[in-house]
Amino acid sequence: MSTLKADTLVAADGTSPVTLTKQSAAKAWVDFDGTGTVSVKASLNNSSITDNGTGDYTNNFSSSFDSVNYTHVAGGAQGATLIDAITASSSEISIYNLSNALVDRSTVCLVHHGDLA
Amino acid sequence: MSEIITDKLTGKTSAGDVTITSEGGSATMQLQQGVAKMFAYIEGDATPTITGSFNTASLTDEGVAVVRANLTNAMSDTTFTNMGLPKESAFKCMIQELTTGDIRSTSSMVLKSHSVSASADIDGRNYMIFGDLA
Repeated sequence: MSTLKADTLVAADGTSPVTLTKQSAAKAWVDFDGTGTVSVKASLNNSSITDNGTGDYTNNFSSSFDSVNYTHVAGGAQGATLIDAITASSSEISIYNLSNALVDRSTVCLVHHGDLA
Repeated sequence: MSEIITDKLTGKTSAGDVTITSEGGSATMQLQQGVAKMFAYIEGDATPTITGSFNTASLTDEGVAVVRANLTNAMSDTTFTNMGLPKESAFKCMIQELTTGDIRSTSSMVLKSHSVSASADIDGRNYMIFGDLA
């Protein structure tokens, strides 16, 4: 088996993104505790979480997407999630319980795929 | 277009760190951080079975609506991002609920499925994990 060792992969022009055949890396993900004072447990490309009120959070990116046309997937503990406001630099979600009431949850997970700026 | 054909990519300075450039060229990110570390598509409400998967060793049926996916290679800790989505359209208000207390471990992820009003088995479950492997 051959092994290529490198710290950075770029296209042959030296600046463009390299093509990863059959791969599409997530550009942002976050696992945070949304109860009390919101705290991020682990993340990629997350600068902060804004607490907009009960069950309502905004995930702020360190590096923005190139448009609002990127994919959101949300999960977490004991709740249904809805995507609200979307910008290139942030994504707002709401979490509801089985009675359709907004709730804070201790495990909220988000993943975003798309093109970064 | 130039092309490198290889079987394995390893960071030169740090084995687990390879940097890639964003599509727009204004940002960089760690390749390993953006790659899914586990996914599984599980079919069968009464007898859950792995239909397609990556880094998934086995399933444990823990009762009505609760199925645990056991990882082949463990995560480095329990702070990772995990997702669960249903397939069954009859569950119009379907919620994938991760049970409290044992939401996840470094070596497994649990999904609990719901209909509108109660926990219930479902025919199709999708699992996905992003984070750091051990």
